[in-house]
Amino acid sequence: MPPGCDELDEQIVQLISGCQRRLFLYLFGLLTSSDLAEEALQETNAVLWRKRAEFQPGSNFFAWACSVAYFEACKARQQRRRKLPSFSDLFLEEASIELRAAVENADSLQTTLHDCMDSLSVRERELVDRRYEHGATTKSVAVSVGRSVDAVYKSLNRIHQKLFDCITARMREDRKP
Amino acid sequence: MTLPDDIRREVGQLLWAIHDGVATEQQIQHLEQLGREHPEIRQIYAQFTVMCGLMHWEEGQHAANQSDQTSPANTSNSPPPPGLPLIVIDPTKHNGMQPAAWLAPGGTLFSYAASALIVALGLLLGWNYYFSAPQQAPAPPLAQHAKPGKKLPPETPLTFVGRITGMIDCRWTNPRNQAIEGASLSVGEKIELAAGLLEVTYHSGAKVILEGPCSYSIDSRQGGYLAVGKVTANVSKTMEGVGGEARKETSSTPDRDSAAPVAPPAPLFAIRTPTALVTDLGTEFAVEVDPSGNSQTHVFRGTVEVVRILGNRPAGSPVSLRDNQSARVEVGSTRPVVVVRDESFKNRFPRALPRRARLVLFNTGVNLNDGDQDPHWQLVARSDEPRFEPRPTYVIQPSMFTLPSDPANIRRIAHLANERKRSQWISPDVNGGDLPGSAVYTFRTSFDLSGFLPRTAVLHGRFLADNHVKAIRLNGHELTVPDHPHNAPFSTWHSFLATSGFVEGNNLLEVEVTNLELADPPDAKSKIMLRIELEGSAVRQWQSPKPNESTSNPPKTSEGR
Repeated sequence: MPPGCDELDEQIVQLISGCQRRLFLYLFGLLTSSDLAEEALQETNAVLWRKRAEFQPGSNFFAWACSVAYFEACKARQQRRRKLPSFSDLFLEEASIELRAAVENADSLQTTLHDCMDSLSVRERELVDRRYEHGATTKSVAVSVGRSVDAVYKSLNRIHQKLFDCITARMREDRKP
Repeated sequence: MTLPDDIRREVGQLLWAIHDGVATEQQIQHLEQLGREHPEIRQIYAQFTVMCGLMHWEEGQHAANQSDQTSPANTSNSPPPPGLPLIVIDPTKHNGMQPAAWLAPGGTLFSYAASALIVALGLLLGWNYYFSAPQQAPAPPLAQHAKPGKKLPPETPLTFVGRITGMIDCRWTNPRNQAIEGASLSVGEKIELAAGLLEVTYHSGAKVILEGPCSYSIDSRQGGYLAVGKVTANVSKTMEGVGGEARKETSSTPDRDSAAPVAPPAPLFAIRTPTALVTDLGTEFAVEVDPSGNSQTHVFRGTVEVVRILGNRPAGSPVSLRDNQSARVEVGSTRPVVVVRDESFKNRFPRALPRRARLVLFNTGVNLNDGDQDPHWQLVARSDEPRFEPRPTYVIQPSMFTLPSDPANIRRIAHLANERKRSQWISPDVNGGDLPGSAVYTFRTSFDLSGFLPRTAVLHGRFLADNHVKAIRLNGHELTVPDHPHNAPFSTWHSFLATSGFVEGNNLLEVEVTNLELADPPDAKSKIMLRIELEGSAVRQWQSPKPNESTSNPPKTSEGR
């Protein structure tokens, strides 16, 4: 390692750790699976570390990380083609631009999400909590709450629409001058 | 965004299907197509996905923090000093491994970085809490704060106390709040029925049957609050034992000075109403609350204790009710609980959910002889005779035929052989003669649903037809006719099902049969034959109070205290 590398490495580690959530969200948007997004995130971290010498201090680290993550997502999509939604490359490429923008606003989105979660009933919140437990599926939630899969699916669909509508409305309000 | 609402709704459903992993190829292509037509859909996709991703991320953090809370390495509650970096690592000091391997999945550095990140996040959040709410209250578990998207309600976490174990013809006051049989119920949940019966079985063994219209809230592990309507409670023998043991605990006078809502001692099952607290002492009893809040309690067997409630507190001494005794507590009255004897009262409550019963239905030709008129099936229409008068149908034998190559003594059966005790072929022509091929023939049977709940009825059927069933109608409502060939073989059954469209009293089932194939000349003639087997069930109506039997008209009082 050339002199001064320790300092640079520490900076890289901080940059990598500082964008984990945004990278995960970006990858999740491309893969629509939390498990695969986590795997791809680990791969991305490894590549970022391996190629850290290519990073130019002062440039946009997250933009560079996203380009690496996009490539890792494409690899994951090729390997897990059957398990993932069959979006066209063009759609994903265009969506990735919007994803970058949405992920950049993740902080405000998260705050808004919390506010909107507060508007859910206890029962709705319980369903969401159960659905987002690690490894949970709509079927497993249905079994745990003693309802039909179809009913739980519809409930979760309604809750997600409610949350999304709430978030959209609040963000629209925030954008008003 | 200017996306039309219907497209926005559709996109929302597609996105949820994708995130739930159930989207079909067609749905994905459809979303892409919509995305090409409305570019803003890509933005919706991104925002919706990020929303779902955030919930996944936070759940992961929550789980990590919970795990971290229990690990011995994180038992200190000291907040980290300000300015502490999230991760402090020095990759060059790790065992001589290549840096790429340290950060690669499974590598030492990666594991360290990941756990350090989680620990640091947890500490940071804990530190944040420490400074934002330092002294006023004891610190809640860190995990609760590490899960801001899942802010817990102020009450304690959900406690499941039972489940819905039966539903008969339920209609909900608010259809959005409907539940299904088997659903778990937690403390605080409210069941609001517009009509029907619903059975809740508590984990303690107690069962309650609610009759709509009613509003009942799950109060605790062993009870509920009946705001309006009727409930029958049946406490199991094990509960009776518990109640008996706890009897002594309830004999003390309730604390009149307490502003807390009245609650029974924990081991006893109890129903609260706006005016009374009915505490079970090992029994089967019923409570009815009218829209004004007046409460009436009836004991089928065993003993209950009824106490008046005023302003959320017990008022007066409890009154014990025994077998076939009733008590009434009126709103605003200063009189104590009034015990009444009303024999009719006990018939106003369902003590068990009514069971399904078999419907009386008639298969074609059942138990009849060859050539007999079928009293249950008629031919009621022919498309080529506008003024057609209903005519009887007759049991006929399946037709025989021979192929040119068959020996002289061979006769083949074209149709499935009759089974007299089950079902037989019928035809409008007693001789099974040929009828015009271009016409449509409508067969009809009827069945009676008097005494049953039409909404609970189910009808299964299967048919054989020569040549083809064009339509099946129940009281004029078209049922789905299964795909079946237009011609022979006349030996393969085809099933159909009706789960709606039933009416009270007489119901009509009609089957339209076509003759010959479409390609046949219009003047061709052929046999027209039908064979149908039916099976059905429905729930019997239970005795429901008439409006003039409301508790607002109290029955004669025979004893007052």
